[in-house]
Amino acid sequence: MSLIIENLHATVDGTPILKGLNLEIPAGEVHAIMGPNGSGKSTLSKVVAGHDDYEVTGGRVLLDGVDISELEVDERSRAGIFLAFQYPSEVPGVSNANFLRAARQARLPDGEEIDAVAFYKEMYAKMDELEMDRKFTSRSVNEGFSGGEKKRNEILQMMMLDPRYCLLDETDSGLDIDALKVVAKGVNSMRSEARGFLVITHYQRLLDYIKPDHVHVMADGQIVKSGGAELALELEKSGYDFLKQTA
Amino acid sequence: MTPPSALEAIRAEALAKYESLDWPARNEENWRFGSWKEANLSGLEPVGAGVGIDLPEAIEGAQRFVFHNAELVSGSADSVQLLAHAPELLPQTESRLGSPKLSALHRAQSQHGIVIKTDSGADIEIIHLVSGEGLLTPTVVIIADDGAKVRVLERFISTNDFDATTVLCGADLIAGEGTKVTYLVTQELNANSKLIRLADSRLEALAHAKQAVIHTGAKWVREETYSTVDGMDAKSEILSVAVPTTGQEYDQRTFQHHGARDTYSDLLFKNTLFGKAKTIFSGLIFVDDGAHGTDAYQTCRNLMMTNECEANSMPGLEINADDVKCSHGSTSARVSDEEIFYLQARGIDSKSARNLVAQGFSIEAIEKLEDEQLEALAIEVVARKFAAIE
Repeated sequence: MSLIIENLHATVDGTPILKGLNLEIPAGEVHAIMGPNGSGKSTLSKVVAGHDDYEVTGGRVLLDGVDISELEVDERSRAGIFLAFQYPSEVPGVSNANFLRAARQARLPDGEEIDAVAFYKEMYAKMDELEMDRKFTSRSVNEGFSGGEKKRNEILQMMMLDPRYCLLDETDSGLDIDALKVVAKGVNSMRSEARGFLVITHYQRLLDYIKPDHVHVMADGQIVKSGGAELALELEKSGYDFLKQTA
Repeated sequence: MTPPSALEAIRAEALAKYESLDWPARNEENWRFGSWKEANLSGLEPVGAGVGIDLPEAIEGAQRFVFHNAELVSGSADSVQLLAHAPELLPQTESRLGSPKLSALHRAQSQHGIVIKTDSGADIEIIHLVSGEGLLTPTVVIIADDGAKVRVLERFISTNDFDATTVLCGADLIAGEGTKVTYLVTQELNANSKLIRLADSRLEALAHAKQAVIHTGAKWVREETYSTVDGMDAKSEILSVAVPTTGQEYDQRTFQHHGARDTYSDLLFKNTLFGKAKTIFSGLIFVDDGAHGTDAYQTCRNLMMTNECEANSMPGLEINADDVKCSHGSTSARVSDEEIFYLQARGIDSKSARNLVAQGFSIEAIEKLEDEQLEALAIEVVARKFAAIE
């Protein structure tokens, strides 16, 4: 069981961003991707989620052996991909609770209705875990939320949707240290043998709280170096200069 | 009670006026972009007796009045007057937004309606069950005095899917000193019907009125909303939520008239256009000479769900006083791709995602009603329309 990204090539407006990227994330593992600005980290997460601004010009993505490269964004989500956004969208007039209900409902077979009582009970328990006030259930999705509240909301959605593979795109950006701990706690509570994580970050700090099994360095649309958790510490200390040396 | 001769005089005068005026025409500013031909009601006879259907769930706590066309079939007239008994309260105001002939016709013909005149409070639900080919001319008059708190819900519902009924209705609101009025109208007519609604309101000092309309039905709507804030610290909120699709045209003209100093008005119209729908919004904020300290806002927002729909907006402002805060604006936008991507990334398919965003757009305005029961009803009416659009 794994998420396999195989020789992935993608362009945006004709400009190549991903240039033959290979990565395997087995279920049960946390992989971190670090890399300088512009290396294609966020693009990778969006391409795997199926964003149609990017054209996939080669390669494929396999989810537990099934090629999801041709699936729509919502189909990939229902198949088990979850993207926690760096900049979550605001959806005015749609309450958080209704949004989550619609997302859960979308996972049920036709004609089957969500059990509203059980749904709310579960949502409240998870909100408590993330130290989110109950008022967020009736507030419009992300509208007027602080940076930290938006990121907690992403993790709440991740917890409610129970995905197979989670892509966290710079989840630590805009978070103070307390919020970071809460978010990390939420992510850690979801770690299991059945689930894989890809954590995209600029800073080693997040990885103090979400301990990765593997760390990869991305540059110019490819993975250029892989190692254990210690690689992140090394990068924090020496930066990405080694990329220039090898170039 | 007005002696018959007085009533006859009102009607005769209105009829003479009606006959002396011309139907709206192409070159009139108040009909710019509008389908002025639709307003020509010549040859239209009043509809006959109406019929009933299963009634929607009642608003808790409200007193309900049900009309089958012009006949009141349920509701006791203890707290209200029937228009037939108080014809002197028929809206006398001439249309100032382009339809004097239609308002004269309404005055000459309106036989039925409700007059809510209170100095304490009232909570009223009026349901017009509409059927038959021809013209129906109902009236609602709300006169609130002495700090009264009034809530009125008025619904227009066709009893079948095919009758082409033309509803020409008048609504008059006088909110006296210190009163609080919430007035919601839902238009749920069938796709062959037309609605012409001429609404006039005047707010006195310290009055606070919220007037809202929800349009989901009818093939053609012409709505003229004239609101005067006429006393210090009067506050007028005007809301409209419309969800038209192919075969539907909604033409709304508004006038926010500030006649006294330190008055407030806020207008928010939200249209969600599907298919080949067409909307026209023309609004004017008019601040009288001497109405200093006016605080007035006007916003029309159009959400374009297709490439074929058409939204026309003509916001306007005329200020004749000093020290005023006024803003007006109109926007037309599509659902943002990033929002759709976000919703899809949670497993919601693209069509449901677009509808969710669009419903949210309407709900944002509905929430300004700040009345849980009315909000729930308005959301239900809008949701039903969304569900019907494929």
